[in-house]
Amino acid sequence: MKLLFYESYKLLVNKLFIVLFVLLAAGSLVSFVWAQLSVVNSEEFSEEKSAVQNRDEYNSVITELNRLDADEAMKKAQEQKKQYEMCMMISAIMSSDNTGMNIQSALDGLKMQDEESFNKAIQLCNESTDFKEKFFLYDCMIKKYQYIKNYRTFINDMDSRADRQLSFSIFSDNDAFSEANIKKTVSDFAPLKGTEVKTGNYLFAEHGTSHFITDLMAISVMFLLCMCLFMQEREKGLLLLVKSCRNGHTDTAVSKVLTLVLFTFITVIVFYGTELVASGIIYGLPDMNAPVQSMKTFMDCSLKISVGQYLILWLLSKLLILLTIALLFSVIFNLFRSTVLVWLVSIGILAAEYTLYISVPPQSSFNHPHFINLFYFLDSKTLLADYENLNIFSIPVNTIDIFRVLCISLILVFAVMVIMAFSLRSQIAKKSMISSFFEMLKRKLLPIHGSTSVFIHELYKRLIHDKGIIVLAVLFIFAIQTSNEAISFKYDSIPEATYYAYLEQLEGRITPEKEQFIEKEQKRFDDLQNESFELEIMENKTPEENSRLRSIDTILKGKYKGFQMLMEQYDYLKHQHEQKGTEIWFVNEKKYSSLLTDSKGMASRFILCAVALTLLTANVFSIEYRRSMKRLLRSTPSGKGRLFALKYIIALLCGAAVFLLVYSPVLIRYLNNWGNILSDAPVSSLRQFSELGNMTIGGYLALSGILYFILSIMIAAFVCSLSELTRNHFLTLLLSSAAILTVYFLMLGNITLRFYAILGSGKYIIFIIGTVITSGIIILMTLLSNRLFLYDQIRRNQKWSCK
Amino acid sequence: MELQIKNVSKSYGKSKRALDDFSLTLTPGVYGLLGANGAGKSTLMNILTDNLSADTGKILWDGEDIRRLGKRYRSLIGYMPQQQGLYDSFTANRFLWYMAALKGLKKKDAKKQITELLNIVSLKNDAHKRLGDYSGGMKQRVLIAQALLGEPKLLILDEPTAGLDPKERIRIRSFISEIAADKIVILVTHVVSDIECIADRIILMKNGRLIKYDTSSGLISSVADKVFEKKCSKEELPELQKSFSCGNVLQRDECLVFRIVGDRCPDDFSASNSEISLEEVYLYYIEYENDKNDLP
Repeated sequence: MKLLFYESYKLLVNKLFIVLFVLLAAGSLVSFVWAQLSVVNSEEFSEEKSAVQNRDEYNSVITELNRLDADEAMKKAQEQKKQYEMCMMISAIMSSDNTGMNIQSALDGLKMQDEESFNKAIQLCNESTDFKEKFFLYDCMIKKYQYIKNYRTFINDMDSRADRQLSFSIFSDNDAFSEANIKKTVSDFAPLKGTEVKTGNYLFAEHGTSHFITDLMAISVMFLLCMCLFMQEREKGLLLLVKSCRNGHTDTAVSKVLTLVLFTFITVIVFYGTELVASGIIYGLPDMNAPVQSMKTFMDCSLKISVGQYLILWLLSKLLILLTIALLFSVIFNLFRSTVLVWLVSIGILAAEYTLYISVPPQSSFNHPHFINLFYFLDSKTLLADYENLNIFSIPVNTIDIFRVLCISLILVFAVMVIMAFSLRSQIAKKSMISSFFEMLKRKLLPIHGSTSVFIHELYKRLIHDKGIIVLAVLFIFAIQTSNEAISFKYDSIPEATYYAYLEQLEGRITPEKEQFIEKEQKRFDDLQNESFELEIMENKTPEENSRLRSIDTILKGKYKGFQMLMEQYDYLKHQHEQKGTEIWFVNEKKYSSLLTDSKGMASRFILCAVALTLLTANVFSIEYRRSMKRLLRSTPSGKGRLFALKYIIALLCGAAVFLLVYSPVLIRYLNNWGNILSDAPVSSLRQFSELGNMTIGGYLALSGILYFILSIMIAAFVCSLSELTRNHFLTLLLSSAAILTVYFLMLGNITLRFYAILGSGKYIIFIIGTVITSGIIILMTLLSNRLFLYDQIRRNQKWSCK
Repeated sequence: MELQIKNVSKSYGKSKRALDDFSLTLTPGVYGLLGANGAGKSTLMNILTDNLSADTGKILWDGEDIRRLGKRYRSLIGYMPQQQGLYDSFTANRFLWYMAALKGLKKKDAKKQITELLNIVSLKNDAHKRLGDYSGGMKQRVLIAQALLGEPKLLILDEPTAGLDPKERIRIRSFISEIAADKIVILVTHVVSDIECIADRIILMKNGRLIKYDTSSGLISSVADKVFEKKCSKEELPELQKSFSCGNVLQRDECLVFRIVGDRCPDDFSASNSEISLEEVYLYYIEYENDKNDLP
């Protein structure tokens, strides 16, 4: 108990832990509130908007309708909706540009349809103007009552549906999973028969329990927690002392695990608790006693629980999965001594899990990697809301049961592993026979030699000491593989295939021959259309004529549409030529979009580049603090300004090398596949780049290259500066990862942040301001780190601060 | 060659003065710097190695301010810090070449010096071994070797013999004595015997001030009549230790001798006949002053 107290105390007095914990909690809360407010404040109507902006009305409508029987309530909601629809139509007619006579005739038309409703609508139009919101509100209520109706059918017809399915031969094999699954589904949902779902405001529970960023932040806290619990003592050389004490083995390990459990619990309360509170403040509290199935997203939920019980279960699920993740990290921290290895293994496991989670389709027959996955379990709302049975040796097993059993088992196994690894594993590295042999050889064969270039030694530190060479080797393999990868295009439809075929022929600068070809094709399709028309109006068609009509119809629906796609592009090119004097070039828009605006590829290359640079440069300065080398280095002639400059140059060179290895293979790949790129064609030949005037595709690619190069350099400078500002390798890795992930998710989520979108829409000013601000921040960080490295006085000894 | 420390003061925050108007002039020779923990030794060394700047006062090397000399001054320094971490994956050979690069040595000179120094610190056979696999004593020797690289004129050694076995300690001490002819060597250590053996002069520091600066023999003679002793039994010892905090217990023949330092001889004690050690000088100047009032 005392040890548990001291382990907790160590965490609570650890400024780094506390500051980051608070920052991550605040970040998570801010992002949650921001996400909710962006839905609420969007221009489009939504239930959320209504619940927040017109809360009283929203609640009164729900209360009023809830007093009625579900069918009556739905009827009333439909009437109200119709009424407000009439209001909207009247309003639209009144505000149109038509003449007075036209307006009157349109209103008369409406009146004739339903006079009573019309008169009421006129009255409502005079009283208020917010009928659009009310129309959508009642529409939303109708959907809610429709859901109640559907749910009743869904739950009451469960048996008959199952019988019907079992009557099909494919489901009726006694040994098959399908049959067992159907039977299990029926028995799992049996207790829910007669459940009366209620209409209400459940936005609190729906939104408050589905914010993915909070999960990411909580995972970061788990990593930080393990770092503070298991790494700090080792880094400060205290572990040998701790382990030499009577209670320094199992007791300390157990107390560390218990501290981890305690702080995971605190994390769940702080992170998810605040999220629920914020959600409650924004949307208001629901009826906690209503069945959880009252929320539409819980239609498939087989648990007989209330909304309040769901919230408790949700928090417990979060606790279980976060504890599993925390203990997994703890095992890694105790098995590997190298900082980089710990980081790589942890990130590797998470990346592998996430890749499986998003790439394995949940409907596939081998969907286990999707469902038996940390990220699926982390999405507790989906876990509890969806009903999924997995095929485990032909036995259907519910994912909630798998989650429960697996998490508890893993928690126990990992806890034992942590305790054993901490207690039994020696902290003193043993030398292998191979390394001893090589040392002997080196001693015998190698003379005293070396270089007097600080640059070479700093490079050695980056590449060999910090294992940067492995990162570069992996990138090199990736570069070779990417360069030789084939590019294949899938045609989703005949028009698309036709468009591709035309472009194969027409790609490049427009010529008289090409113009003639287009005209000829146009004439051909015109003739076909005429022929089709004539055949259609013909009475008593012969079989041959019918067949001809069908084949023409097929051509017009398929190839002609492809030709129309080409013609639309041609019209646009001619328009550009007339307006801006841009040369007319045919460029396959779909093909070149994959090269110029591949957002997924761009995001994945960004993440690859950023991860590589983080690994390469996160230890540039922190290594000197970790090894207490700063005082020694600063006492040498080159240990100040020159050393800083060289360290920075090497970090920037790493940025350049990573840029070459990540981005250039993409261009090589396209050149390998296409033979050549239409580099002289104006980039505005693609409609999404209509604002870019006379810039050529080559110029655009060069500009993108420069921008990616600057981006790589900026990432390197950012991580490098962070390394000096934090003076801690782990912290640099953590903060860089957080920054990279933030940018990555923004890139994935917000199209306006992608530079091609900004340039394409001609928003140069935004682009320039964005670049200047980002560069400014990085330059400021660089200057600050330079100042710290050169002028910051050696930290006071503990004795002074104590006194 | 002369290093002048002129009225140097340094404070950490408002409350604590680490160095208080410290002045001293050093010429070639070995200087032992002694003081209790928190006396200001580390601050002085950080200022001398250009890692810290003084709040007031100046440090002059041959009459020129070291701040102005900058890089040129740092090229004259050889510094061996205490409790130094090293790059684990570097070999001793690479580490010394790295330090040679930082010190701006030419390749030819670096090779000659590194070979010589590896011999001196007995690490030639282990030069290609990773520093991570070195013992504490071996790491200490690599650090001494790097401090000597570039033939520094001012050598600042912080606990240079910590972790070394007696044989190695004697070897290093002798080497420091040998090279000290044309160098200023500042030796900071709590191992009084090291200072006793090789230091020409001893600098005693307390609360950031210089309280005594003399040769070893001069210091010993200054406390000749300040050391008293008393034979005692094991049973009496706890009571004596309670009464006199600045006491030292020696085992002589079959009895214990309790020696104390002070200005006057307490009852039952007699002036010491045996040789006075530098430790007693330290106790007198550093510890006794604090405990004066405790004397009976």
